[in-house]
Amino acid sequence: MLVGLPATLVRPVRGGGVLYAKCRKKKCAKCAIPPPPFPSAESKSPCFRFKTLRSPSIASATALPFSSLSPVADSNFESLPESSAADQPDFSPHIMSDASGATASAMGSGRELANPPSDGISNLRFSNHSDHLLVSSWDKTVRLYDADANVLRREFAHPGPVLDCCFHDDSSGFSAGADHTVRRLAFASSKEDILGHHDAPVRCVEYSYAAGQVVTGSWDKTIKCWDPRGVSGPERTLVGTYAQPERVYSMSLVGNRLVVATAGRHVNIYDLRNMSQPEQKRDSSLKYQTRCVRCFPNGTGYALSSVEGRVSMEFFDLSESAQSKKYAFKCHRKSESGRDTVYPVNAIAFHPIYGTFATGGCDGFVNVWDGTNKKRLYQYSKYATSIAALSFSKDGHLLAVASSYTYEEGEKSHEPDSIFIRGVNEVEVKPKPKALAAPQ
Amino acid sequence: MGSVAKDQQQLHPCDSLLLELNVIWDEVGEPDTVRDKTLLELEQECLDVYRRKVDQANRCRAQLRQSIAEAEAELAGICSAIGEPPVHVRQPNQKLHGLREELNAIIPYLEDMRTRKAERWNQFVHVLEEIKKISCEIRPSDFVPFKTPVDQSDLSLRKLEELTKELESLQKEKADRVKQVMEHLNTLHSLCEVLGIDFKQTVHEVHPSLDEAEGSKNLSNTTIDRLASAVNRLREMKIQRMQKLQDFASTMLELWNLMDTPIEEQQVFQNVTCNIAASEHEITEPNTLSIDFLSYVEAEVLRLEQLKGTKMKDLVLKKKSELEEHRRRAHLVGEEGYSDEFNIEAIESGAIDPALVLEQIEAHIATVKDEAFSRKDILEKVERFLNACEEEAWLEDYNKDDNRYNAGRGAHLTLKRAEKARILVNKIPGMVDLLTTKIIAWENERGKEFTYDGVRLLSMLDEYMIVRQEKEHEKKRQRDQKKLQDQLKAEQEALYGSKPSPSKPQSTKMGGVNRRMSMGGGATNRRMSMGGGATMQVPKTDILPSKNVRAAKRTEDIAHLSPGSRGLDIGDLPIKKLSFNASALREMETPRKPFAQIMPPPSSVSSMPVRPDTNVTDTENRTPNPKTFRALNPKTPMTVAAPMQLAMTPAVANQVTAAPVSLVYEKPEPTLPEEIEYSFEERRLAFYLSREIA
Repeated sequence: MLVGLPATLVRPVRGGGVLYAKCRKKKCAKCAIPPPPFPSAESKSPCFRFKTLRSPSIASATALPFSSLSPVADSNFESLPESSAADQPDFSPHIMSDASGATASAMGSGRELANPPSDGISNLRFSNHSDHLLVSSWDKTVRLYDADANVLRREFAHPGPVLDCCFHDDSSGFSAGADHTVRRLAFASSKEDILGHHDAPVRCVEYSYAAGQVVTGSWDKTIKCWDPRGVSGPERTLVGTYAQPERVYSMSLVGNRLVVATAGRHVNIYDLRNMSQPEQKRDSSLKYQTRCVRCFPNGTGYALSSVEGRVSMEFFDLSESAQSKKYAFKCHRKSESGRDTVYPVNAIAFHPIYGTFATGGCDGFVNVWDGTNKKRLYQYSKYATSIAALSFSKDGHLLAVASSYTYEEGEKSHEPDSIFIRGVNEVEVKPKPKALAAPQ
Repeated sequence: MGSVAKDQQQLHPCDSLLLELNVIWDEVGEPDTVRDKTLLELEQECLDVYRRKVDQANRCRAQLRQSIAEAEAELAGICSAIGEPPVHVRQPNQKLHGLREELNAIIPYLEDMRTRKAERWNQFVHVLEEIKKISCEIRPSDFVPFKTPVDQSDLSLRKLEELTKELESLQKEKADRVKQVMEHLNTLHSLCEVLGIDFKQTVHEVHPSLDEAEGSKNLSNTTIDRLASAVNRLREMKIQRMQKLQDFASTMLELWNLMDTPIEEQQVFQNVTCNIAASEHEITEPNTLSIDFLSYVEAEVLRLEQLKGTKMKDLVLKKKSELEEHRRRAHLVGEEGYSDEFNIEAIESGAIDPALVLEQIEAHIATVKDEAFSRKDILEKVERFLNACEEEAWLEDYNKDDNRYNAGRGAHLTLKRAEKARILVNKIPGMVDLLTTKIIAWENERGKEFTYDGVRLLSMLDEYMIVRQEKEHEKKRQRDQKKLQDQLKAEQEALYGSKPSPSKPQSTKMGGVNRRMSMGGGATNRRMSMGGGATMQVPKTDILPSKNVRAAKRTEDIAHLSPGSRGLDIGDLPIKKLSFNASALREMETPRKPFAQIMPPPSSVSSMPVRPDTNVTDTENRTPNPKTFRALNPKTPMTVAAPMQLAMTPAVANQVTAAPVSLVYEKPEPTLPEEIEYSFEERRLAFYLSREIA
């Protein structure tokens, strides 16, 4: 009986590096038989696969098809999370469907920015007001580019690697340093003030327009809120320190909501107006280390990616109906000669207008997804090395891609770090309703 | 005489003339005395002539000597003046021929020295003029033209150097001052730009020379002081205005927050609010602090204030409803009479400051939120408990329906439900115990009563338990009675033969209908169905009249607040509990025995959490076509989970097998090993640091 025997095994490599999966099951229908041929009209979107996340109290997953037109009934279900890692490319119809026309990868990789950082890029962000791009890097600098003019406008040198940066407004920004320090950078004067310190390297920094505060997350297992107005003295800038269960790995803000993802797969959701306690304490729905978390622009939930090629979509609303909508899907995987390679998903960026999102993985691919209709909209051609960070410009017409080795395989020689600015066509990011994408 | 003539040729003309004179005298016969006398005179005259010539030559020599001395003196003077070693024209060992030659030798030297002196003097004059000019520029007020305009006696290079140094220092000072002035002007310019003031005019006020594009500017101390003071004045003004602007900006932000101003409207003032955190030197954009701009911002703030005034009422109402909503969600309703505080009429009449009210409401909301958080755990349990009670009530009704086993539409569903309800009902006492301990802990911790929609939850639970006990007593009594009756009947039957069975109660509803009605929670329906157990009506009314009254009242209270039927059911709770008939349940269970055998061991079922059970109905509702699942079931081994939850009763066998499935399923993906996980960045930093140390 086939029941319960997983088709494949996913074996985690120590510490969550690249994961390999091998097909062990001889009789596994998936591995033995190639996917059935589909009618030509549907060849690009043959079937969908997603999985309702298991809540810890329920022993097994509830599987639901999310499209009724799948040609093979049983491939609709993903009751075993490993079952499909077998023999198809990661962006195959196993996971999310390709919307029509999306198979052709975009030509070229975009315009490369001159003067890129000399070491790994830790993050990049477009300004909310202009096409300026702030880039933090392991080469101890924060750089401000004018993406339109392809000019390096400012460069701030820090004493240690910079792990994150964000804009305050167009004239200033903040940086989070591995030297435990949070800094405020004034672009016009090239000046920097120290907002304060953590007890360990600061991993992420966000600025909340709603609260007028800077929020930083650190490996010292705390998040801190800062008031950038109190630049005059560090004792006046700190608004509060809030303990976290583990080291903070990623944070995201939407409105007054703050989502903090830490080691140990914890996820804390805060209301910035009442930081004394988390509004919700959750565990990640994914089984492996959290890599990145980003809130939906509409404020209803967040997307969370793990080191094991998977992204989950979750909702803040705790009601059953809302929670039943959450799901996860696989991406950034590759299958070569019977060995499956699963890559970490390093970056998620939401399109500011359409609410679709791009993911970037250590496989060097950037994929664009439509979360509501559960489709893949586009895949850009492969970049030389891992995608470390992604950001859409304020109007969503530009996508900044940091192609930079993210140290998933330790110290090794790798491709040079580079930043690409690519124009975004509407067809690449506009949601495609199901009815149109899958004509009967 | 002859000798005289003889000697005439060889003799001096004077002698010859004397001889001639002697001859003449001889002829004339002059007396000797005359002769002697004449000769004496002649001799005298000759001497005079000689003397004159000698004197003349002597004088000439003296003159020459004097001029040489003069020239030498002058030479020495010049040499000493220009500070050079004196030139010794007359070398002591070198004898010169004659004074005249000596003089001629000196003169060219002298000329040379003179020209050098003139040159030197020119240099001096030049330097001095420069000094004068610069001094004039630097300090025109206290400048004193050189008291002694540098005597010509000291024209040495050293002196020139001194003067040049002085000049240089003056030039440096001038350059410094120019720099200072330029700096001041630059700051002034940027300040003027930011403040929207006319730069030229400001500068002109300080010193008219400053606003000329070309030409020398006045560099005196007073000018610099005035410039500095102007800069300070403007800077103070800037700080003042900046504070004003930041005040405006923060007010604006507050107002925006308060009124949820749309982003587009806020965007216009983004340049104002972005400066809220800026320090003085960071505000550099032109006109950010001009009076016009300030008044423009002020006007906006005023407009917002006015808008706030008009919106205040709405806001208060909105906040109030928000508060109500929070309270309702936390089942805190009806606890305090806080509503008087936020009296709209009072606000309208102006008796209360709406801002104050808003603040109070905000504070209330905060406390309610806090409290709701602390109550969450218990409330969840209460909800579960209430669900169980609802099921209990339904079961009770159901048990009274004698037609319940009639096969009809949906009868299998009701059967299933009853089965689950029974399990649930058995768990109620445990729930109540747990709840009670939790509530007591909560109350001890907080020092106040835990209320649920205005009623103390503990008393509610107590009541429930009392009723339950009551019911059990009743049940026992009834059982005894029945036994007695049965005995009696048996005796009678033994005596008179069998009698027809007592008439059935009128409730002939089908399972489905019954269910729907009890779900709706209509109290009248339930009372009607309660008619079946009419024998029990009497004790109930005796014991709990007050409770019924309260329950009714509560229902009224809640009716408009909590839309869910749950609230209503709570109110009805005591009635339903009373009508619960445990004996009926027992009776009912007996015919179900064959089914119970199929059922999995009770432990496995009861260990299932309550949530998934409710999930089932959800899934059922959600899934468009549950049948496809079942159809798929045999084909797809991996989907066992789905039918397991969807079709409870028929798939019991599957449910049992499902357990190993999930076990196997868990195995290949164990939780990460015990060792501490690290992200790529942490590893990278560790490597980075180790390299750094190396």
